[in-house]
Amino acid sequence: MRIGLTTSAIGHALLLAWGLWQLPGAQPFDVETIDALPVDLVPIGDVTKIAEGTKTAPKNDNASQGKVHNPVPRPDSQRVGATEADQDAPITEKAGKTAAAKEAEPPPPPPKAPEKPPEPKPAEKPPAPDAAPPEKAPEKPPEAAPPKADTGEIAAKPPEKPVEKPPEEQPKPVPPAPAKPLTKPKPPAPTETAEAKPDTPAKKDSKTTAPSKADAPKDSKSEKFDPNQLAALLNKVDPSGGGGKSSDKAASLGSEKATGPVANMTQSELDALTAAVTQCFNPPVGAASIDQIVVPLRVEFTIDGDLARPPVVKSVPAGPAGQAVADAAVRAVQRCAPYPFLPKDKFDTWQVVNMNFTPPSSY
Amino acid sequence: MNPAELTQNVLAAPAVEVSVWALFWQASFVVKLVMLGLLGASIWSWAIIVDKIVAFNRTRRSMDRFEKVFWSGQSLEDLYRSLNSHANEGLAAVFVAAMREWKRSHEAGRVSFQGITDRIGKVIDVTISRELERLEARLIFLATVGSAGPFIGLFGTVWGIMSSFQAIAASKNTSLVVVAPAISEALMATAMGLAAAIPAVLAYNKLSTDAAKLGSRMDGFADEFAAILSRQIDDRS
Repeated sequence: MRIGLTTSAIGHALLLAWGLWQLPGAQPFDVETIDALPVDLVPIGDVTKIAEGTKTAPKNDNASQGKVHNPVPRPDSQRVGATEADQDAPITEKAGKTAAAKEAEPPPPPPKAPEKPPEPKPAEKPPAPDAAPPEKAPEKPPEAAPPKADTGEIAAKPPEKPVEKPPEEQPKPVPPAPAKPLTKPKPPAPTETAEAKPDTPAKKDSKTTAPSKADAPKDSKSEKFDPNQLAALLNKVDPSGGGGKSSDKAASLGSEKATGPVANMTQSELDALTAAVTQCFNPPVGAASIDQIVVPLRVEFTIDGDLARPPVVKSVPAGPAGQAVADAAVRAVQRCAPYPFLPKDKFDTWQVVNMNFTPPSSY
Repeated sequence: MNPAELTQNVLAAPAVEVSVWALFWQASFVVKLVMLGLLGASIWSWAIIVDKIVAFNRTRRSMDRFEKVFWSGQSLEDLYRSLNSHANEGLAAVFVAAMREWKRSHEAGRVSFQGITDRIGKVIDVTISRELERLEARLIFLATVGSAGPFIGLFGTVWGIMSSFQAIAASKNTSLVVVAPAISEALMATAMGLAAAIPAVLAYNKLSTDAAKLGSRMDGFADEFAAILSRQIDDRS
């Protein structure tokens, strides 16, 4: 035991001695000195330079006081798509407008007088023209005179007008009709979207315009040279859309409204509408697996949430039960009407709703 | 040295000394005691380790020597006579004990050979267990240091940190320069505990295994020798 004890004691003594001499202590960390970074304290007021306002100071036109002028949409830029079906808005003549505007003020009186006589038809019409407002006169002339190619729709209208007016004039209107009737009615009421409507003020306008054409049968392309119409004569551009270019793209889904792009209905409103319709849906008897069917519906509303017309099935789904399910969907929409929860201030967005109705899967 | 100067000195160099000796000397009384105790335990356990290694080696060598003599064909009587005179350990002790019992029973002229075998077996068992006890003595101290050393060191650390926190609270200064030395010295107690415990644990495992090996070797020899004696008894009966 003595051997072990001595060995151990000596070993520990050596170890401690080594520790004392060889491990004198921890080396202090090297702390690198950091260069001082100058920092200036600058009050924000020096930068922003906002001055306190006084109530007695004179009004100044600066940005904060300017009034907001909502841009008025140009009349012809209302339709999104470029296809014919989209072109609800009228095609007007640029030249006609500009020229007409110029003519309206100073020149109108002189030119009209000489023009009237040359054309027999206009002469007969004068009785009516008296009533016609002088402003419209300038616009009509360009349209009436030029006998250009007509579309079927256009042709149809002119006949109606004369009928309503004097019966004698009926024959006459027919020839002028081929001219660009489209343009006439539209300029006065650019926002009209309903050509189909039979008796609207728009038509009256058109009627009145018809006689006025007679008064001023000037054509942008007519031979007569009028220095005042120089601008109009120089403008050889054929009539085209007067406003912004309509987009080249086909109308996107749901954008059937007169203004705005795609319908902005929020998902919750659409959901509410769909839920309401779904509740009223009675599945056709015997139809199997109808939950795979999607019925595209076009529903038009009035502002009080009622149906403006019966919903239209845009395409009958395929399959044996397709027609039955489509009819059931139409019945569901009609049965649930009206839908008063649709927000009135967003009527624009849900005036026309293209909904893809899916029969509830629980059936 | 006036008080103002003293204060200045302390402020200028607050506890710069962080050497091992300085750490020990700055420690509080309890921590010092713990450290000293651990140092003593370490010294003692290393003493045991060295002693046991030496003793086991010696025992192993003597066993080898004895076995060589025993199987050399020498007369058992002569061997007994040569070994009986001085103290023996290991296999020699077993042999001497068994031979002594055999001689006593045989020379007394007793006839019960069954009783002789039993007695010899018992004597051998007692001798082996005594030898094992001698080999394993003090090993338990190593086991104790190995298991309790870290705890003792931890106690010193906790105590040291406790008192250093009290000192911090009293000095109302929590800068790291003030706090660090005290915690460092407290942690030294745990370091010492681990330093004492780790060798103790390793040595305990090794030494106890060695002792078990020696014990089994003695068992094997005892069985063989008992077989020889039993053959002798049968021959004489």
